[in-house]
Amino acid sequence: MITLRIEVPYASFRKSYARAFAETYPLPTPATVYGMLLSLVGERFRARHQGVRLAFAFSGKYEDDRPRQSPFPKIAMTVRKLSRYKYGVPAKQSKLGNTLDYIETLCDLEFLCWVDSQSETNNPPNLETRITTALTQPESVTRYGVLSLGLSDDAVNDVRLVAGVNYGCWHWLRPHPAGSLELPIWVDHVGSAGTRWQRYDLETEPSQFPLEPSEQHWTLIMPPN
Amino acid sequence: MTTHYLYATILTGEAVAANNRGDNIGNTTTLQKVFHQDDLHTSVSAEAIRFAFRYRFQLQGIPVNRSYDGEKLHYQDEKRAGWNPSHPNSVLIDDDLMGFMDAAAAQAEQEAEADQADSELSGAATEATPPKAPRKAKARGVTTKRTSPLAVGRAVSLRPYRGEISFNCVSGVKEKGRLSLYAAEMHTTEYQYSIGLNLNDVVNKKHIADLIDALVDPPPVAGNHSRFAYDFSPQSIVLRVTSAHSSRIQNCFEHDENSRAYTVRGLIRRVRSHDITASELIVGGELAETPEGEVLKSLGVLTFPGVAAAANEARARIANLDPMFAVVANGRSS
Repeated sequence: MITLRIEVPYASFRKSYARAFAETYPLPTPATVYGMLLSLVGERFRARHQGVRLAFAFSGKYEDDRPRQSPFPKIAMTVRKLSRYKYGVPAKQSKLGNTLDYIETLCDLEFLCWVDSQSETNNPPNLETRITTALTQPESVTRYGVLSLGLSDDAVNDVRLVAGVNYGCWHWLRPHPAGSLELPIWVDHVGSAGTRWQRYDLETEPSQFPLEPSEQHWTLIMPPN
Repeated sequence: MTTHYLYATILTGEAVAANNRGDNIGNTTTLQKVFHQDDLHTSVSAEAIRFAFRYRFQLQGIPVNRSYDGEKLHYQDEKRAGWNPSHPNSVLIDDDLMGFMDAAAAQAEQEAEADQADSELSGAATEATPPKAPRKAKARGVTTKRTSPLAVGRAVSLRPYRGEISFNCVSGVKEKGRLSLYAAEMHTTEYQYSIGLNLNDVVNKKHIADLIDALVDPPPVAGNHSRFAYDFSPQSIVLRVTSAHSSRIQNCFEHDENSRAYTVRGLIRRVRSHDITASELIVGGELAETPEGEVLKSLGVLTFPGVAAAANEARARIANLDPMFAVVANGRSS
């Protein structure tokens, strides 16, 4: 198991059922974070590390140690040009091009992500090993584009390995069948039959130290059969 | 093969900005706003900055796919039928740096692309997860999507927005019954924004030098700035040439409420703690001559009083990374 600390200034995770108004999930989704980790290690095949388990905790403080009003990142609403092809009127795309619409953006994301490769089903090297290599010997990894979370312009400012989290203020994202948040853990981009969701709660009270995920905190990343 | 990146964070000078973008509440044209920590900051979108870079290339006379005539956009090759990365000199700079996607065509190619991804697996992984469907031939000669090697972050005001607003009357002929009074939000501030460029992904490496030129000398960026003449060029620039997969310099300027100026305390902390290798950083412009610039210099960061000199240093460092980048050493003008 490894622990990553990830910092992204601005990001947007469009809700699966959002139409023209691009609402965002209130937190980065496990499916998106898994995709970012694959991108970090230069992997293009999504199922390569199926079976990996991820756990998340979100910061209750800003970088300068000031407390946040809520562990949920603040949401800003701006305007941007969006393709009509998928979320507008497809027939108008070729004639009229993209159109302006509102988009929600999460601000100041900072979270911990634990990666556990014990139950990966494919052959080594596993995701843990590849992430460790990408961060400690970055020159040995070939990858494309700039590392981003969600939209390609929303670059990741920092992703680092941390050992033993004994500082800060962290709120667990806990999978729970009756949780108030529903986040995708696997996204089917062609249609949505294969998309899988899971319900979560973001704990309102910060966790005690030392911070280590227990069985209840893990999310299994597995494509549908 | 090692992946090399150029990262940069740019801080403009302070001026009155009014990038209103046509959005309004009643008869008040509003600014776009985002949060930074608990404060509201105004913002200029990444798309506006991308547009400005592309327009600059056009004004320079560099062949571009999408050009702007002041009213409309024109494409030389909207479907990118002529995109051929095996001939770098034929690649248009905006397609090369900013990527493209034809969503309709991409939808038709999803399966072909998935099969291509399968074939890129290592042997071991392929054995473990064999593709379920029989392979289909990749549609030859048609490329509808290119991931942008360039990421441009939104520009965020250095100072929080405290509600500056102007009260105006539309010029020209007044029509009876139509309101001619309006208010416009504006903001006296500096803006900062960050970019990242995957140097390996750029097909024609000469385009890297063109982008660096554009960073140092951008044209007006969007909206009412064309009337307000807000200068988007860097007063200070922080560059990082590295193989690290995250920049750690994004939006590294912070407003300092006490001095009413800016601070780079966070950047200094990261250099001091070796989270950023000092020798990978280049600082140019006003920051270099501040006490914090001196601290960065003492930590091993190369600093220049001018942004152009910093850009030249970045070009030289990129050219020395690998023979394939040698062409980056000189700007287009040389």
